[in-house]
Amino acid sequence: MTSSVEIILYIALPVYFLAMVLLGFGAVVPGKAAGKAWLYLFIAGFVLHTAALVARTILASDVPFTDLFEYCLFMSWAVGLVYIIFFRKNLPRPVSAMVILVLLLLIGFALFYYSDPTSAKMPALKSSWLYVHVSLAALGETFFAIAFAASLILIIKRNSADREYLDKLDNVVYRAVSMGFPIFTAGAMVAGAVWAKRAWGSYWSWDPKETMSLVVWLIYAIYLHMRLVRGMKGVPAATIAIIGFIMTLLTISGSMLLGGLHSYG
Amino acid sequence: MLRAITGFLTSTKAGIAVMAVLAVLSLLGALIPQGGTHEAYVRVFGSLRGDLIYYAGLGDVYRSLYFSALLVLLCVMVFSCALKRLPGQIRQASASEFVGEEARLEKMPCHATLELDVDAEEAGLHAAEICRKRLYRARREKSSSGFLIFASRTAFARYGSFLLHMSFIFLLAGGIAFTRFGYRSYEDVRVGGNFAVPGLDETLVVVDDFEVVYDDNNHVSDYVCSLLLTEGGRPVLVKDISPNHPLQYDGREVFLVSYEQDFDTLQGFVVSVHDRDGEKLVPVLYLPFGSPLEVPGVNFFIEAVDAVVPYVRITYPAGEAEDVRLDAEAAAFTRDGNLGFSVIHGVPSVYVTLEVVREPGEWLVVTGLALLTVGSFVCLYLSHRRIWFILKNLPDGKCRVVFGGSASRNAEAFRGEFEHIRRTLDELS
Repeated sequence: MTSSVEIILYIALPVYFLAMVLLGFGAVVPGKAAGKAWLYLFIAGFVLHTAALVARTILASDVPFTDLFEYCLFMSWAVGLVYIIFFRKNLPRPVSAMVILVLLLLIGFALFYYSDPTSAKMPALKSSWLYVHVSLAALGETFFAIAFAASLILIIKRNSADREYLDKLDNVVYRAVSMGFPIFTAGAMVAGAVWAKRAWGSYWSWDPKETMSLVVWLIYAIYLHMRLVRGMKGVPAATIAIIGFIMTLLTISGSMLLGGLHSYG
Repeated sequence: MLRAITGFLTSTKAGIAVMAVLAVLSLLGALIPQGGTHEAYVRVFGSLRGDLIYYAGLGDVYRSLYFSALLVLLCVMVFSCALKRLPGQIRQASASEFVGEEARLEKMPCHATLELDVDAEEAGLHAAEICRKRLYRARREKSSSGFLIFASRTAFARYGSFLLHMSFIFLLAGGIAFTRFGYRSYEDVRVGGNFAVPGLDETLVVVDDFEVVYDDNNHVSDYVCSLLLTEGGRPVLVKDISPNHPLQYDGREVFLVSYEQDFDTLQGFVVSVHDRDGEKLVPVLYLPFGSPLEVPGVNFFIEAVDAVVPYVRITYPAGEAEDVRLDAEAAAFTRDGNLGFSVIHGVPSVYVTLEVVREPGEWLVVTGLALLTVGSFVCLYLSHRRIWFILKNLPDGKCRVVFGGSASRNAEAFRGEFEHIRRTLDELS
């Protein structure tokens, strides 16, 4: 039986999709064709998305952080939130459309792994560190998702004569990575390590998910060093940001395949 | 030679290369099952790849010598880079010199020139006040033709990357301290059993009880293991441990890792107690071996006894005892036939796996993690912003203000702030 959360998400999906199409149309045919309709649709989708998150929280009697469905649901919602708060006003339309596409794919991924909200929470997950670790890790990855969207557009438009536009895209990538990196560091690496010590007796166990998070961290650390110290910009820097987000997605889903201490989600 | 080594250790390119190699090796370690045998790798990956994985150490990559060497090399490089840049960072953070040449200010990323309808002193006071309101520390100095101002904000942002890089040293030191002076051991203990705490003479941990706790929906909600710690036979600490709640004692921690049931060795029976007509007096009663229980509502004690054929011993109020052999297939009755026992199921004995950890370098790790967090936020969220003003008196009580500034990060936000300061100052024109 389809749950209320799924029903709300299935309604939100086409609303977001329409917003993306209008944005894409506006990018191809500049002018007032798309107007602000896409924004109203996006906000409507986000309201529904928020309702799904709240419904899940009520059904599960806990913040939805414990399995792959809940993680992707929260992360996709955070993509919308971060976009509205930090990037809505200064993102080029194609990047906004790409952000919505990433958000849609995350919701789709979440629905693929839908789980029963009344299923038991593992005793190991009963810790306040869960909220710090998961929320910050997902939030950091949200910024990486936005960097990924801008990087893709930058690579697609790499031959554009409008250097200012390409510089703007490059700045969006840098801004998103530099905002997400400290949050990811605090959430995924530091809070994760502290909680691991509390739950498993060791700050670091080379568990597959831990290790893949370290790889993500290293990739973005490389990006920041290349950008800040060596002044790398444009396509090469965007390529690193894309690799970083692909690795992020593998980290999110990897524990399903690789098992380990994080095998629950 | 020394210069070449220093050059290599402080090279960003080399550092990035080491990080990239570590990332690739870590990824391989996550993808390839670790700790397998040569045969297992050949069976799973084929002859050539299996050989490669095994002999290249990719089957135990995190404990391989080259992986450890790369980690140490990265830490040394990070330390060298941090030290190399520190003098420059200190210089920039502490520099507070005034600038008197307009040409220097005009070369700055943000600069502006205004003519104001007040004299240099009043304009200077106003400019310093605007800066202070935006949390800058502003200093004024009289010059031959007017005033000079230097304003600076969040100078400590210059140390963000130093803090971030130093975190690696603390984390590495913590890891080395654990390897050298700490230990981790695993103990499989049956409920009722005990083990000696490594390194603590005469200290025993007794596993008193283990319980799986279920919630209202019959889902497992917790695992609780009751421990008793004794020193020289004297009880010193009683603690229920569960996931996320270890026992801490004298620099050691005891964690509950897992539990296992041994169906070949029972620790008791679950029975129902009924009268001669089959009416149940106690529908479900857990009888652990060796622990007499007072049966609710009935005036006697009952105890399960472990034997080749297990039996229950009933102790009546007068003190007399009667043994009733339990039968898995049918109810067993007392001699007078008034009391019957039906076995519902045997209760397997439980082993718990406990992890004992001593981590003397923990404070190093905690410091490293704190520096990593603070350093990354300071490094990427804050910027050291500086603004210099040259204010020169003009005839008729007016003044000319030339000012310029720069930020160590987030030039876009600084441009916005600089423009705000320019507009606010321009209100005096």
